[in-house]
Amino acid sequence: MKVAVIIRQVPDVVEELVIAEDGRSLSEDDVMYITNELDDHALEQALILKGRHGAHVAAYGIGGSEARDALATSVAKGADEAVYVPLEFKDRGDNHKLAMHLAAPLRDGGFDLILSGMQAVDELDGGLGGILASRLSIPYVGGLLGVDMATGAGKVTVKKAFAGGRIGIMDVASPAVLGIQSSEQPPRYVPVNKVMQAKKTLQVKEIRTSVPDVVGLCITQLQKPETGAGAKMLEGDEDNVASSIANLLKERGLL
Amino acid sequence: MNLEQIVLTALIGTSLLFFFSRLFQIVRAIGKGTKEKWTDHLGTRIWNVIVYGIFHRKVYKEKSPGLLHSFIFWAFFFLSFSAVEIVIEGYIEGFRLPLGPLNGPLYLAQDLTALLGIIGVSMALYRRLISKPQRLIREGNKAPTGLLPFIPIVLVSLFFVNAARIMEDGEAAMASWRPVSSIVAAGLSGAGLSGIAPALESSMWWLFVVVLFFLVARFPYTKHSHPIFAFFNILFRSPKPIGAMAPIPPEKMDSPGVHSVYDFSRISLVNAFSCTECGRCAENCPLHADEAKTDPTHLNPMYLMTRLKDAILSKGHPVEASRGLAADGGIPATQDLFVSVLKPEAVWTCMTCLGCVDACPVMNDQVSKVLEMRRRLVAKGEVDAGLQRALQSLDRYGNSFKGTPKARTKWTRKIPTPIKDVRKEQADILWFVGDYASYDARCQELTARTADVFLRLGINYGILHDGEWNAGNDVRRVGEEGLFGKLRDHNIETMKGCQFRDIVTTDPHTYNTLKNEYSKTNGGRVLHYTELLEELLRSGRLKPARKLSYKVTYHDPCYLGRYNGIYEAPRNILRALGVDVVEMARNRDRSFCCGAGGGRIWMEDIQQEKERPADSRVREAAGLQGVDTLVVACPKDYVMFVDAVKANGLENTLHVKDLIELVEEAL
Amino acid sequence: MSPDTIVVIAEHLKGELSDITLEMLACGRELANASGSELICMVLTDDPLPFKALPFASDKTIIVKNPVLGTFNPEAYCKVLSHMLREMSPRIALMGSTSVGMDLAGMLSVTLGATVVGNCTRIQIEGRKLLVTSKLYGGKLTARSEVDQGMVLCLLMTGSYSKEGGMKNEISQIDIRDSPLSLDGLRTQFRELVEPEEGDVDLTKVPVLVGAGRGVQGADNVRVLEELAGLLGGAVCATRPVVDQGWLPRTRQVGRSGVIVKPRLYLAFGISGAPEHVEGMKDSEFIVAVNTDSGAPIFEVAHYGSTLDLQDLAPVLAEKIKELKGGK
Repeated sequence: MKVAVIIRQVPDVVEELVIAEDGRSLSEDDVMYITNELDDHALEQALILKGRHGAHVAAYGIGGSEARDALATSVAKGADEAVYVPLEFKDRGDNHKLAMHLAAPLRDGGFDLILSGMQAVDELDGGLGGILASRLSIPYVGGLLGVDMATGAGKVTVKKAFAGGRIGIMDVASPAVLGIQSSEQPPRYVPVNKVMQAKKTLQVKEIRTSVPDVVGLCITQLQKPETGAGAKMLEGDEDNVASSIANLLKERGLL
Repeated sequence: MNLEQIVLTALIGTSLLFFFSRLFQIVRAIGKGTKEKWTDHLGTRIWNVIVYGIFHRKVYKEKSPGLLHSFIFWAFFFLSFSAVEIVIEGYIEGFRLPLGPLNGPLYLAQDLTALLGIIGVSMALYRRLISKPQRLIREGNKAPTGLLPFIPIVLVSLFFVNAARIMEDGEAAMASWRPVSSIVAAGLSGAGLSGIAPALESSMWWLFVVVLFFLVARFPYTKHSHPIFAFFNILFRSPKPIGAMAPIPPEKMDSPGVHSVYDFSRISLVNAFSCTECGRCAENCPLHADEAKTDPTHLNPMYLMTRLKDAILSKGHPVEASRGLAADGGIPATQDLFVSVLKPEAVWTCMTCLGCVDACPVMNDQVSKVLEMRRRLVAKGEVDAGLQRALQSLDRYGNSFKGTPKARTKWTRKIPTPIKDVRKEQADILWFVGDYASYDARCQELTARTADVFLRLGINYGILHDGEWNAGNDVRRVGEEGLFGKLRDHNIETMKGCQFRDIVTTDPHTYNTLKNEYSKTNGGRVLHYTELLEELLRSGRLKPARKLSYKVTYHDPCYLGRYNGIYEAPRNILRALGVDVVEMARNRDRSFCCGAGGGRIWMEDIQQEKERPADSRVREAAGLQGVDTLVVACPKDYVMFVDAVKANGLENTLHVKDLIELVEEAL
Repeated sequence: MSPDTIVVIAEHLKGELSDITLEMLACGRELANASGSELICMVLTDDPLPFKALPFASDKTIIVKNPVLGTFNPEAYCKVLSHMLREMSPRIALMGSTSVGMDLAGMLSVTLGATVVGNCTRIQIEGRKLLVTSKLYGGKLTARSEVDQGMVLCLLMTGSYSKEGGMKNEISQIDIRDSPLSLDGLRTQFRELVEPEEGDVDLTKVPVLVGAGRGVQGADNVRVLEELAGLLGGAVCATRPVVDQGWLPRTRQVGRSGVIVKPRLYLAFGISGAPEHVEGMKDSEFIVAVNTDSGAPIFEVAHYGSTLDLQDLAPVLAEKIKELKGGK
């Protein structure tokens, strides 16, 4: 079984998000990148399939130089192959463009499954998975909590999360694109030494394609959300704040 | 050879056969371990053997056991000469050791120490049968109690042999050199029993030989192998500071740490046979290891040693042994440390407080074994979930709080004056602030006070601002050597470009690693802030403006006290402030860990824990008469005890204060 | 393309219409009124009965029936919707930012050559231009975008519009038809829907909820929150990451793929306020949030907030509540 995992680098929201002067994008110099959390889950799910069924896992690292580091981590965790897809700053968060970059190499790769996180914090144009699947004319199911081989050949069984904690069990014929919401186990730990080792010996295939600009979505403004109607912040130490809250609750008859 | 001699030879032969075959078995098993050098600092090592091995300094941490142990030790020491003499007498009539004028003093020593030996054994039996202190009962009373009575039999039988000979011919028996035996002889004569002398001599002679050689054969199969191995154990124990962990050797980079028992070094394995099963380590362990839980799912430093011994001899858990289960990597279950010695969940429970290591009279190192096992677990990615989060945060942000590096200096906003950036300006002191002091909301207040005190004392200091990363002490102690290296290298690099004289920190964990595990960046000293303040006190720069009349108790932080020997500086400061320091029973080297060390502050709570260490400690402090303040000198202690005070409803009885708060108050 | 059409793709589960559909209709109604367009509600199902008599605010409701459409099968829905939307050529197609809509949007944008805008909280029309407000970066920033031509697919976040606006007093014109295409031989098959485990709390019926977010950091801190919940006669619920870590069972998950709750009181501890979770609780009557990050989006929906560490505050709060209740 051959599995591809798309691993995107997105702005780290732990750090302060600085808006560029044009007011429509983030300031390139101030952005710190981190692996998209759900893509991490996708990688973990792929590695789980490797552990169970000996799947061959190819990690596609999307982004700038930090994507190469992410590939080293992926290989240290157990990915068999590393592919680097450089993406310019202005194209980040644009899944349509990314899908165009990836369609051909993924098709040529002969993958049974293509996994990616069902969403990323920096995207606005719908999940990558569906767009990619459409381009490759293969099925897509997103919001998955589990993936495993089905009893029939060429099929996988997936668990899709629905509202209210319900889970839909579905069978999907491969090849298919799957959007992961949560891997069956939390993403594994890989020791720093192993990652450093992987960085030294990393063999990466690079894919550079030029892709025409897509016209469609145009962000006109990025701003901090209006805090006008936000929370009234309580000041003081634990004693003060706890008293305030308790009194508020009492006033509202909640005690 | 006559019949007697044949029997004697057979007896001795059998005994020595058992003795040496067991010894051989042990040495061969230990030999399967890895090599480790032990020839450095030979002078110190030999000195240690004398002080700790011959004069049992550590056994005296408890007075009466120390005494009784010395009694028995010296009794056996001199007995061994008598034993040689007696055995050869069996072949050569009237043999005496050719020591010339020293025979007399030897017999005197033997006589007196034998009496002391009997007293010692009596004290020991009293402890085991009547006073029953907890730590002895824990290890199971039967085996040692069973062997104890044989010792006085050996000693008493020798007295009777000597007495009998004295009764026959006092001169020939050198009665003047055998006061105790002479008294016995006199007693027997007085009771009109001089007639039994030959029979007595003969029977007691054989009793002596039989029981002695029974003991000789038996000892190596029990914890009494310790007299043989403890000397070597002490000799092999590295005199390097305990606060410096050994790095992973290059050849082990791919599979660091230990998995099979033979991955340990031979020196480490000797520990198992030097262990006297005294239980002092378990007594000090904050895991409340006094519950006789002998299985591998619980970390009890003493049972760690006994299970290690079984693993070395491939004797492990009977069930697994019979199943011949191969654990992962094809290691048989009895030799797989994670199956037979300590299960992974137990490996993560160690707080690295050093209570066990410090207490051990034969210089065993229990902690390093746990740390080696952690290295292997980390290499396999089998890490506690909370720990994983902390490590990932440390790797990415240089702190365990998942906070942006810029937030490291958030606490400085509480100070009106800007603090020097040592990366840009020269300063006398580089204040390495530390993670908890910078990021934990409760500690930030203390850090601000520390800055205030430094200012008022006119100390020329600076900090590394956001260039500072976690120093890595606890990262190393959870087995993430690679991450430790990354943090350390970054910090050293940052400090290289700075000009300063000494480094000061308020965090003992940071202190430990900066002092013992960082290569010297500019030849300066590394000081804990209490050391600095003590210096300033002595030089007169720190002059308390008023005396504080509190009655406090002081908690010795593990990484300041046991790891680095700093016990008195904080107390001197407290006394100089006029404060009345009341000691808890568990003070100084017996201090009881708060439970945060060894990365435990990052991990999920221990499932089977009866009582959290911090809870036990605050109750101990609160129990002191008239004491209303618990003084600490470590940010993690502060955090742990503040929480514990709340959890135990002691907010009105016990206040937790960092030493710096009292200093600030007194200025 | 005149008159313009606005289509709402309805969502339902087990014969029950999802609330998001009404919100989308409310949004659609607003846009239709502002632009003089026709609002069509499209329902794909196996049994039209539950939907025939619903007072949708649409001008027309098209119900497409086929056995395969009874449960959500992305391939089947996509096939049918591609065909129908291509025919209808609407200006805007509204979908929920849910496990249904998010599966469809990407695929449809390629087959229809349409633009997708996700995480929408507000949509406006200005002449030919569509102005959309969306959340980005886990809710930390808001993005305004414009699309001035072509079909647009908007993924609407739960809680952005009122459900009442999606209904009206009469039943709109209903058009029931069979699927225009065969749905045989699909590569995706729906096998079964598994209900969450029984025997646990029904979060939608509990008046007080204490929410545990990632900031809780461990199972033992959940205990303090459980104590608080107990004191207030409520229960503990969780965000997705907390459930993923196993600190609380999935039955306690509040949010887009968990439960939507509207308690009288929601105490949020260590919750950042990512849209997926906020969707699930923003209609709570009274929200108090505790998070050390003053920029956390949760403070936008909370009524009161504090940046103290929950580990410090929660136990003290429990004490104060006990006091006020007359306990201690």
